[in-house]
Amino acid sequence: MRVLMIVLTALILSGASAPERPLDDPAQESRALDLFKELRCPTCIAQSIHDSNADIAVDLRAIVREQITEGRSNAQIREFLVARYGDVILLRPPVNTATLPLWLGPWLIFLFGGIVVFVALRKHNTKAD
Amino acid sequence: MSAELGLLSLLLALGCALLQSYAAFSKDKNGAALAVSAARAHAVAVLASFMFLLAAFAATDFSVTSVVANSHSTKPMFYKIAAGWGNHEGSMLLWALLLGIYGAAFAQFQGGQTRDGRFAVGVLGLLSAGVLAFIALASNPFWRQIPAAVDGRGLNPLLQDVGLIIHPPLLYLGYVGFAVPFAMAVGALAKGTIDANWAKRARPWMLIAWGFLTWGIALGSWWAYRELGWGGYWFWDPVENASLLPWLVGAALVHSTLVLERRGGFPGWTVLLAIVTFSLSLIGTFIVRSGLLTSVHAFAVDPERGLAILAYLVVTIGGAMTLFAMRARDFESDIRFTPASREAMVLVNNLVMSSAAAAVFLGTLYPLLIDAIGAAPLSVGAPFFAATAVPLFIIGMAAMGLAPMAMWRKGTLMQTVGQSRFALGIALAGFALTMALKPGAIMGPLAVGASLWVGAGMITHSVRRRKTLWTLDQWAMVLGHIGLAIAALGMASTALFSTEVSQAVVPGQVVQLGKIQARFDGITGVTGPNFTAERAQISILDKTGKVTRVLYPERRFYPASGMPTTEAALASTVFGDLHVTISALTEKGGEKTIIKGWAVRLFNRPLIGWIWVGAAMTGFGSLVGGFGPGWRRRRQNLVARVPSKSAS
Repeated sequence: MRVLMIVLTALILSGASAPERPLDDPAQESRALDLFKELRCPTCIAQSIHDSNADIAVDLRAIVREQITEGRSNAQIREFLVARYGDVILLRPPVNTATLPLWLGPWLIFLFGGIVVFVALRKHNTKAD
Repeated sequence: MSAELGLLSLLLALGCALLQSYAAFSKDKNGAALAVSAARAHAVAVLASFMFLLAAFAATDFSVTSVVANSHSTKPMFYKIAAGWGNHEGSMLLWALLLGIYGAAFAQFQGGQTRDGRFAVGVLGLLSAGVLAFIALASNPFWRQIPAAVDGRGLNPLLQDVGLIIHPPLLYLGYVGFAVPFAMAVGALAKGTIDANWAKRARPWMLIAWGFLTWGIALGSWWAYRELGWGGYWFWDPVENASLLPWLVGAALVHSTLVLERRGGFPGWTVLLAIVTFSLSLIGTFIVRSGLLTSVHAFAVDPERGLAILAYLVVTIGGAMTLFAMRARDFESDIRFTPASREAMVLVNNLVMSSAAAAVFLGTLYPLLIDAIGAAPLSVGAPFFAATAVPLFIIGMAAMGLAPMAMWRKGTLMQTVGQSRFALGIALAGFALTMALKPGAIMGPLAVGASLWVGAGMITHSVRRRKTLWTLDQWAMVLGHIGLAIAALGMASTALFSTEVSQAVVPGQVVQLGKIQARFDGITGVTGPNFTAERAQISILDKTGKVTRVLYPERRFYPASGMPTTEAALASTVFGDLHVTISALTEKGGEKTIIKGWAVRLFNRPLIGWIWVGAAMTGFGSLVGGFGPGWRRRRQNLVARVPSKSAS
């Protein structure tokens, strides 16, 4: 009896989840899994809904699967979720003016560094003199 | 008693650290010897303090606040003691302990010999004094509470794992180890010069720190893979990223220092990298510990601690950077090399590592920045890093595979690539094969090709040198690079070919994942030392239905913390892992939650184990390179001593 009580408490605390059914069509299910990995679990710190068992992640997985069976495209599903939760739901931030420094930054540094390296290679080249 | 003795030792260590830097900075001719002695005493005192803390944890002294917060009477003894450093205050003391030990080792071996070495001992003393003062004033693990608590509040059960017990010490051995090249850089900027001789002295310390850091990061990821139950090994979360930053810049540092040592090139850049690497280590430890990375707002929860940390960072990093700005112009070198020489390859490495570090830095801090300016919040996750850091690494690996064929100073691209014909063939074959197996993917096949390119390049290099006597440096390079190729191949394969299925099951039901068949046999309740668990029995079947392997994934519940955890079961082979977890399917019936059944989740992760085997090799290679020179010198001394003895 005591063990049962502990088990029950554990279940309540763990955020009891409804049975999760993968989609019957393997191609659709694999699309769903890929989408899960790029959607953030809103109550977690850095986890995707693929990697979380929080109630909200379970719900979102069900929503994504449902929309896939309804024949919606990945873009439409993303749009739907962004309308509901904002850009914060996307683990791949959209490219816009607010995220331009983020997306371009590493490549600008690489480009700038590349020019520096190129100049250094020319300067130090033994053949140059 | 032990808490008071611990605090006393801590204060004693603070005194020794201050004496260490005073003696090192003074003009007195006996100052150097005094500084070395003080550094030794300082290390012993922090060690004593740390031991007293562990004693308080071992005795489960519930009048000490940090014991109450992090331990519990039901914990097994091993985890009771380990809880001593598994929390903020204790881990800060561990950090100080390692800094003390590194400082004493540096003072002992190199500190008294040169003016800049002596200055570096002083800098290390100051760094220690700052941390020790912070611990004593704002982060004291020896704080008593009256009355004593009846029982502790436990430790996060996720952390009750061997992997996570040794993860922080290894990680800190890496972070803190970079304090030595940092101090040496400051010493050289203030009192000496940056040249090949400096590089020769500094490089072992860098390799030791980088090797330990590699191990620490790998261990953390191995823990996440086994404990978090999602079959993933790297989540690009801010705390992980913070440890990756010094690793990336540190990798650039050990390579540019090599050029400095062999050719006297890039002195200013190398010193800057040494400063940046340790700065990122500091940011990695303290910002993570302050909670800033999880949210800007968490920083304000404990403003006193936050401000103290900020002040320490500003003084340390700002001071070193100012010194660098003042002296950088003095260190110019004019060495000559061709665009396909070893030096050029190192430049490519440095470019890639710095850019990748910038990508990780930007990706980690951008959401905080957006949050701070009050714009619409956004997330930066795995897909961003996969689109920025990963292609950069592939470019880096292209140079890495070529580097061992390249000669110092001379050579053309045609010559070098010509020597790599074998590696080029293997890489192209691997790329084409992966493209065929996984049509439509491009980054994955490129990563496979790049890994094979590096691995085969190292083999070519080794075969070519098979008749020469290998130096430890050469062993270090080959081990380190082959390890990296193996790890990268594991990552590419995991990313490309992983499959998974999750399914609700009844006893006797078989779950199919590709060719793998797993039968769910049922659930039994088990009781551990401080938890209860439901343990599932999963039989792996071969084609004929015969059981080849039985796995027992668990769902644990720790009453002390009220947290359930997932214990994955793994069937590992050289070719990959089968990772199995279970979860309960439940339904809320009014107030009660009823177990309706169980679900099994299977992950097939081809070659995933190669990631940690490779990373372990890379770390080992780095440590061989780091400890090698000292070890060899000792052996030579011993050999030299023997004949002289027999002569007398």
